[in-house]
Amino acid sequence: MAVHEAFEDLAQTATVERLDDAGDNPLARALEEVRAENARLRRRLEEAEETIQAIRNGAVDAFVVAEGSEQRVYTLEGADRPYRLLIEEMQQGAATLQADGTILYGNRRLAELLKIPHRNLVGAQLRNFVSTADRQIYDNLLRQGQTRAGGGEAKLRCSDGVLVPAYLTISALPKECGADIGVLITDLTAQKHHEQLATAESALRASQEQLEAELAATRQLHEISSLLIQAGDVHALYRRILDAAIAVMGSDMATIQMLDLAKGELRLLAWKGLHPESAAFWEAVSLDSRSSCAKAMEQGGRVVVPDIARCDFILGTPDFDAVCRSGIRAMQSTPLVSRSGHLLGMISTHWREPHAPSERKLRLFDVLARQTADLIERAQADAALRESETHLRLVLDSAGAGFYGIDPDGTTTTCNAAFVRMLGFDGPEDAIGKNLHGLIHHTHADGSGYPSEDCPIYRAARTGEPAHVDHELFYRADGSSFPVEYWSYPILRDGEIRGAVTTFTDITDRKRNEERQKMLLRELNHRVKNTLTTVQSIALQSFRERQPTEQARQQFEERLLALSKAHDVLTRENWEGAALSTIIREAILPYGSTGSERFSMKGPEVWVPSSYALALSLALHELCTNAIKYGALSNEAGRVTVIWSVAGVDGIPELRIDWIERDGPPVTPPERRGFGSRLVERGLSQDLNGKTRIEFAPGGVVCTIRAPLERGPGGRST
Amino acid sequence: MTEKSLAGLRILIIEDESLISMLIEDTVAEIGCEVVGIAARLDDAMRKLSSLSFDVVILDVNLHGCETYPIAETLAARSVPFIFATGYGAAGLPEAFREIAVLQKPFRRIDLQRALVAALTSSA
Repeated sequence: MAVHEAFEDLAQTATVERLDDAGDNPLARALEEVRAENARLRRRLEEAEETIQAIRNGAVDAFVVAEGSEQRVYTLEGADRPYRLLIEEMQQGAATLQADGTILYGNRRLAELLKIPHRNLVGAQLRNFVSTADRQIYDNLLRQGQTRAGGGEAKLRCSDGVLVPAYLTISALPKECGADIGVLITDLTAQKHHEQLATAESALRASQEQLEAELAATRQLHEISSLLIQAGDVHALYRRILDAAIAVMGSDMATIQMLDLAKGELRLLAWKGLHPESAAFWEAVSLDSRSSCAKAMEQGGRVVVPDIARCDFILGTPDFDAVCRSGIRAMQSTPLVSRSGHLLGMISTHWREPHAPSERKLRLFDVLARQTADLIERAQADAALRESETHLRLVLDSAGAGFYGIDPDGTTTTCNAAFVRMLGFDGPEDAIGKNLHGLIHHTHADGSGYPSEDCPIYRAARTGEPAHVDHELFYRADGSSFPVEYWSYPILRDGEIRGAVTTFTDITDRKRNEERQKMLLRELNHRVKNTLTTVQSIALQSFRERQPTEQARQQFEERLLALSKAHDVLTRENWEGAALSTIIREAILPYGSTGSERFSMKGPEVWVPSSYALALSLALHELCTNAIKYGALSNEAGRVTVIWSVAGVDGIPELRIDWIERDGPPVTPPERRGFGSRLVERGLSQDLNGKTRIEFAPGGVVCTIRAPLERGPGGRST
Repeated sequence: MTEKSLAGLRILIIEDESLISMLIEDTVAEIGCEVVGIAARLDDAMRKLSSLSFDVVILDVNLHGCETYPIAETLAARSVPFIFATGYGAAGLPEAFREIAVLQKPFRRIDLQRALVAALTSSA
């Protein structure tokens, strides 16, 4: 068009110049001719331009060119034809543009794409069909397209407002083409759709995989739930939980810790995937430490460390070393909280790569944490119960008393070690599950039968009436019996009688002690009465003799003292007898010690029964009294010697005691034998079943006591 | 029978403690009875039961730790009057001897007299 205009301008100028000189001269005519020719040429040019336009618009398939006298028809076949068809028929939009983006040519497909009439394409700005958002892209493409090929995605706005994704390939056209830029527009709708489909499909697949993983995890959680209901190996359950934790979180490692409040630490209950040294390091984690689990404890909520390398609270701590040793790069710790709100411990998962678990996984994980908390709580309750049971068992087994429980039918349900021992069973299995009345409680102490209907133990289990009995017998497995005291109390649960527990003790010893005590009391009474009678006798003897009252009283008191001393000796020896030397020493003590000049004693160690001891004490007292009054001890020079020995006579050992007085005043036999002589001679003979003789020899009194030393009857005497 | 008519009764004393037997001996003498023998042991007592003549036996329940019920049974079988001398009291005696007069130690002269009268009365 610029060519044409330039040509026209030239023609105009020439015309004006020539017209100034116009007339009927040849130049004027020539100018007229030129003008005509110019008009003709201009017409031809216009025709040509129209033709080109038509060709461009595809409206012309051929044109006729007059050449000389004949006309020639030129079609657009040949090299150009298939190309044009291709352009017209191809599924891509195609256009040529002026440098400013004005559409010089556009194919049908482009018009279809933009949903506008084909004719509206030419002359339009392609930019106007580009979505506002992508115009920058387009402008850049266009600018770039002036010099070299390029391409990019941009959305085209159709006439109906729909945005069509398209790929624009832009290239500069050769100068002679009449257009500056060629554009190929590929509708990406289908491709985008496919892409979307593919994306959706892969997302779906991913989501399916995730769902499957979650389903698997949920199934694990469910399995754990059902496992939790059953009582089982708690450690096996912990391992299941670890597996589930790893599955749910897609982690590489997992741990369960239990809070030990007393020690202020988290104790590792179970772990998976850790380096053993890390596990050992985390065996007990102090709540003061800077680990994620301690931090989660402190915060009372979950702590997620997506990247250990960027976690300021762990870096540089011993925990960090343990973390590194296990190759941990990311971790999360979730507190385990009991249903009553108490912190029980921590469940953690660990990854080898930086990882931030999704909310969805964490929610699923919370279910696992809930179950774990329940398990720990139950395990703790079980442990407490077990401990209490063990303790109770220990208490029951340590008890000296027999213990057993029966159900309302009388079947033994439990028993302790003392029960087994006391009844001579081999083990609890001999008793448990059995009805024992016929075995251990079948006969009364008097030998009469003991029907189980009468048994207070069974009655307690049946009716709830408690019983306390201490006069019955229990029978051992070997048939022997022992007296028992027992208490039976009903076992009540929810107001219902579930049986009875019976505790019993073997009261053989108690019975014996009771008997012994009774006997001792009887003996004591007897002894007191006998002693009083002895005193009565001493009093009577002391006061009936013809002597001043004062003297009688003194004698009486001294005799009582002698008796009392003898009692002291015997009490020291539990009234089982006494050493003869002790008796003699005690008897003569008030009159001089045995080491003194006046007294000497000699003899072997002899043990005499208590009846001997009493009689000897009193007799020695009388001999001493007599010696002081009349005998060897009544002057300054006299001496008393007591010698004793034991010799066998007819196989029976005989004790012989000699009381020998020397160097006293001359002895004259008494006119009358007093109580003293009577007590020594008659009393000793009677009490010792022996012979006693007092000889009033002129040189001094000699008393010889002989008594068989048979095995004495001990303290008992009348 | 009264306390006064006890005079001349021949009595055998079976008692192991000399001081007590002396007391009984002296008290018996005071009420005009005659002690024909004293035994401190079971064998001696059995011997004297056979060899001596007596009207009444004063029998200690316990000789050196041995109960004297066999002697009591012998006496009862022979219908010989006897009294138990004991520190235990009548409550300690077996059922079979509940009717036997008991001299509870320590005793007064009158207690001995009454026991002797009772023994002689019940066996008469």
